[in-house]
Amino acid sequence: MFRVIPARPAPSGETGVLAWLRRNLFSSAANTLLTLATGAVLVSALAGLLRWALFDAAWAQVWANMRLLAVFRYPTDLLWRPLVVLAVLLLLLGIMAGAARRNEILRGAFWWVTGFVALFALTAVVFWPSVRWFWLAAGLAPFIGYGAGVARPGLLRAMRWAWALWLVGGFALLHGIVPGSVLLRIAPTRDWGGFMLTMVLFTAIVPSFPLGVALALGRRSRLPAIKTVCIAFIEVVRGAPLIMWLFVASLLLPLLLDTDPNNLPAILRAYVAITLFSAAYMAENVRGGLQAVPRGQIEAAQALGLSGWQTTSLIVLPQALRAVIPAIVGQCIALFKDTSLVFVVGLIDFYRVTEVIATQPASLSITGGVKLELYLFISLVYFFFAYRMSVASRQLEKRLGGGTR
Amino acid sequence: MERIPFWRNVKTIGVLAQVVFVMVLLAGVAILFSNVTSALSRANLPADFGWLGSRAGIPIAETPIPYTTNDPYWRALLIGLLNTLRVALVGVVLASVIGVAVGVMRLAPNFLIRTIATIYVELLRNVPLAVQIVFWYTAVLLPSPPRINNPVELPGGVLLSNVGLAFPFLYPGDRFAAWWPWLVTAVLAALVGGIWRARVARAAELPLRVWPVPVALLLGIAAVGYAVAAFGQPEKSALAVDFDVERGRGTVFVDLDGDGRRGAGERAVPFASTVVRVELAELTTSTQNLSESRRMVPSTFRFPLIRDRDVAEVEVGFVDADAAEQAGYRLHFEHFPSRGVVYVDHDGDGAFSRGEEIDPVTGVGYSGVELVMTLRGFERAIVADRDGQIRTPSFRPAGSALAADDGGGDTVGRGVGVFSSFGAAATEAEIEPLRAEVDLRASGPLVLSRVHVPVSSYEGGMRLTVNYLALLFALVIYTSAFIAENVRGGILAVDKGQREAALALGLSSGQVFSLVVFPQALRVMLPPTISQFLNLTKNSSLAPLAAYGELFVIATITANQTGASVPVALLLIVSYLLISMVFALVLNVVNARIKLVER
Amino acid sequence: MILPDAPAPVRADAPGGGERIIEIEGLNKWFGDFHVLRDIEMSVNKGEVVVVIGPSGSGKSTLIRCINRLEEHQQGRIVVDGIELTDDARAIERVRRETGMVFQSFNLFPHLTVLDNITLAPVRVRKWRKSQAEERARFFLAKVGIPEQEAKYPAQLSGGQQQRVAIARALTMGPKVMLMDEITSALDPEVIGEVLEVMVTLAKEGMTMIVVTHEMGFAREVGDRVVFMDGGQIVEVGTPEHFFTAPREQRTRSFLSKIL
Repeated sequence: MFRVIPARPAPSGETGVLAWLRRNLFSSAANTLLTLATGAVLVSALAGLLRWALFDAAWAQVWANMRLLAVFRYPTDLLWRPLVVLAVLLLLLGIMAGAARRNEILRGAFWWVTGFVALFALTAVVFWPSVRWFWLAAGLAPFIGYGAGVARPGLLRAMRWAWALWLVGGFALLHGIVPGSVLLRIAPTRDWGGFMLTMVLFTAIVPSFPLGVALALGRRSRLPAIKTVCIAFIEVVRGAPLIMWLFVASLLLPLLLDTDPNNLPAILRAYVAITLFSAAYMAENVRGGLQAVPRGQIEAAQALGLSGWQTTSLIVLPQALRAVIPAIVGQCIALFKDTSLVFVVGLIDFYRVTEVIATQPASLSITGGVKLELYLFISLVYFFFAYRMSVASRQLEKRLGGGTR
Repeated sequence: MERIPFWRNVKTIGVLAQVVFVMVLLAGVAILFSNVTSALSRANLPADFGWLGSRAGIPIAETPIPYTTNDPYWRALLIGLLNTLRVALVGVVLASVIGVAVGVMRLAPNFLIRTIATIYVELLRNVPLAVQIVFWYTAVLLPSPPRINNPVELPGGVLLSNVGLAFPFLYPGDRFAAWWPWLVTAVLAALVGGIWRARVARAAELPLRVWPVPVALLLGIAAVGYAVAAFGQPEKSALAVDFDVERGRGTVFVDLDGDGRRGAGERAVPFASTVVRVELAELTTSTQNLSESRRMVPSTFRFPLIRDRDVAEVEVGFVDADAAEQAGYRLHFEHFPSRGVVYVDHDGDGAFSRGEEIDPVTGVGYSGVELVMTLRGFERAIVADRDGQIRTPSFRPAGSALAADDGGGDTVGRGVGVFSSFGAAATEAEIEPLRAEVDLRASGPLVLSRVHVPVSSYEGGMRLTVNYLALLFALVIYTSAFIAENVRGGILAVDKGQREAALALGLSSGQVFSLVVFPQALRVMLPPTISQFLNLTKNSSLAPLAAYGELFVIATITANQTGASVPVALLLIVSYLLISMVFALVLNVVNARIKLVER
Repeated sequence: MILPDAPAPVRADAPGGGERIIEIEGLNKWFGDFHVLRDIEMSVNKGEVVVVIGPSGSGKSTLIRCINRLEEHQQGRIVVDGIELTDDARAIERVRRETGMVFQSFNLFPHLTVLDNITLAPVRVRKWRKSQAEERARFFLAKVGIPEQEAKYPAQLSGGQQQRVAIARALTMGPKVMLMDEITSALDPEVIGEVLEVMVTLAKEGMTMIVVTHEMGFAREVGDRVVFMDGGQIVEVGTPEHFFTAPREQRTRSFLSKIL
């Protein structure tokens, strides 16, 4: 006679930590051996690394050159400028994260950046008296912004303008506005460098975006002349490496504009090259999104009587761009890493500062030099940002995938 | 029918828009063009390609084809392109191997393996390639390996030092010419055989294996040809070696006039197999305090690399034995007889202990102690290089170091060479003149060239500089992280049911992977992986960071020297576009094939 | 591991006198904390056709996947052709060699032709010569009624043809038991018949089969026993006639009323 057999808990060792250990580390004799061997190698390697990092490594040279790494030779009395730009950036980020705090991806990224800045703010407050108060302000800005965003979610609507203002104003402030004045005098671009320059070049992704969208639309245009030109531009630019375009731009831009090379600072030339290069890749990403928009969407829009431009801007682009956000974040990562190539036009970005530091007399007196330490330090910083972006990209991919299906 | 005004006609608008667009574009191009021409003429810079034929004068360390600084620019640029391909092709193969391994490890059942693979991928993908190249170049490969005159000896005759990696390599020998037609025949036969076999398979509608037939043909004919060429009639030609033992240099050449000296018009012969014998000779060196691999190595002496099989008898002593005994100097060998330290036996135990190589008074090592190595019966098989050159250590006549020392000179090193070559100063009759003989040996179609270190560079074998290695390592490791992700994605894309079906048929887990899962994953991962191959090739343009002379580096130097920035830029763009197009072609072929099989 | 006061499970024992080829005793399986198979007691004789029915999530697929160890069980014994399934890799491989399995989603290897799909395992596992394996493969392809398709790739065949290739693939290994996991569920209605026909032929030739299916017509024609499962346990066992005429349990009745 049938009676329901009640569910019983799984026998011990089937669930929980032990089961996990057994399944993942000791599932068979061979696996156990593998675990022990790799474990031993891993532990000894980690111990060696730790011992080296704590006792043998010459971190002092990294520590002593923090300013070079951060802003290179940006005038000391003007250090408040990049810090103000940073503080406003964090303020805006804070407002966005606070206003849209149900967006976990944005919030997660925001707190990550905030934590990173807070680390430096704390260090500055303790060790770097000259920039103590500005760093403190930069450290507090995200919290203020977050608070404001939580209190006034309506601020989110003004963000587009705020960002544009920040970008333009930030450049103006960093560069200086009134020649000869004390506060707003010009800071020559040859003194720009370090992490600040890396970030400045990274913003080239912003102008590359509308350019890329235009190129992508042009590539799908029905008009052969426009289509051909767009395809040629995209394929030629993508066909050669960025470092070559940087080199070519630094040679050719002065010729193309028939001006003295000194009138065109290296940063400007690099910025143009990076923007155009990035736009070509952006165009390909956007094109992927455009292709993903079903034909029926366009037909429905046309049937409703929307014009060609309206169909593109109101129906097709919003869907296409949404679909390619992860790819665009991926491109941000690539560009962030690729800014390290500007050494080829003589710029001293975050990566290239290491060469300057390594050739200082103090560094040369250290046995074997300090390059290893320097490279590890900057690798860590690059990794910190690039990895966080890739995490965000994966989260976005997951959410978009789940949302559209 | 009402006529449509042209500004409302969809067709006209399109044409009009294009006309306007093209006109604006042309105007822009025209302005830029006139700007460039006027700027170029004002600065008096070349705008044509005439400079390609003039002397380049660019020193290039690695030249896959013969090159001197007297060669023209086009040849230098060609070498740059070849060097690009050299690093790219090897890099693509290695990156694939590592990428597949790491990608599979990412899915391993063992948590530790999985974690290590994940860390590998995330770490390497998220650090700029530029940083990775300089890391390998200036932080690992330049400072870490030992210096060239005492390289690490790895199994199989592989040598590693701060100059690079060198390993034995096969070169075309004397009778390569006799083998050559066989090789051509083998390749042709393999082609014909492959096509025939594929035809048969198609005709029979059977999925026959095609590859064993062409491979068997290729190897079979090549092997028979090798045997025939090796045992056939030796080629009669009057080769001779012009060898100067004191400089340690010689040239193998065709001795037309039979005088044993290389005269004008007498062609050097590459890759000849020789044996160099020196009956009695000596080498000198002195100790130094060096920093190496981020540590100090005091009181170190280093002779050129001499192995047991090179000599019948070898002995190392102090040039000034009396002074050494007074100071209490002793020798401790880390690698007899080439490398060791000079120490003073402070603790009196008769053996070397750590710290005894440092002078307690000064706190540093004993530097400048002169040592002499006496060799009897030196004999070494040397294969001449591409230019017919052979090199040995710069031997001195036995006893000359002592003589020079007695002569009161404190310059032992190069001084001796000067003494004996002028044949003037030797005060004692003890100095025996150097006697060297060089035998030429017959070799087969291929000759195995081993690596040796005569003075401070590798000779023989295949040599890879640290510059090449650093760029290669960085490119391979960076790209392998991306390929690993493609592999992982490909494997995950294979339906779970495939695995289960294969297991249910009784296949072992290894067979399931290699016969069922991997072939299917390959289709998913191949297209993105090919674009990674292209990325690797394009990324090789970061070579200036490792001072490796590939296309971009040579082109930048050329542009700087000639000022021909526009032509050089055009050359670069066209070269990279060509490379990209080749990859695009491969990608299309692969995509087509994948589609074909899937249908 | 049944406690004295626990309800006694329903046993699905094969009739006496036959030669036992599968024996399952006290089988329990968990997915994490989820108790998916509860105290299964079952045996199968050589030549028997056992049809397993039940609502989705009842554990019927999991049960037959345990028989060739595609799923690992945590308690109880499974003996197939005298080999007990344990962690011993050799035992698992031997059992898999002797049992053929056909899946709902065919799981043909898309990168191999039909012939290669079928000969892969005989050549690699049984170590037959390729020609011998191909001969056998053609024999079974003819038997399942698609002799002309051997050079095609799976994607070029219809669903019914693919499933018949999958059956031929399992048969070519010469299995002693065939496990069939809802093999007609993913097929278009008009091609179900051709697959069922093959199944009936097999059953009539005396192949031992455990079939998870909702095709009661098949059960009625060739099934020796029907096992109804629900909630991870065996609810009722009987001949097909028993299920069509007088199912005992309320659960059985309500399930049958839905599918018939």
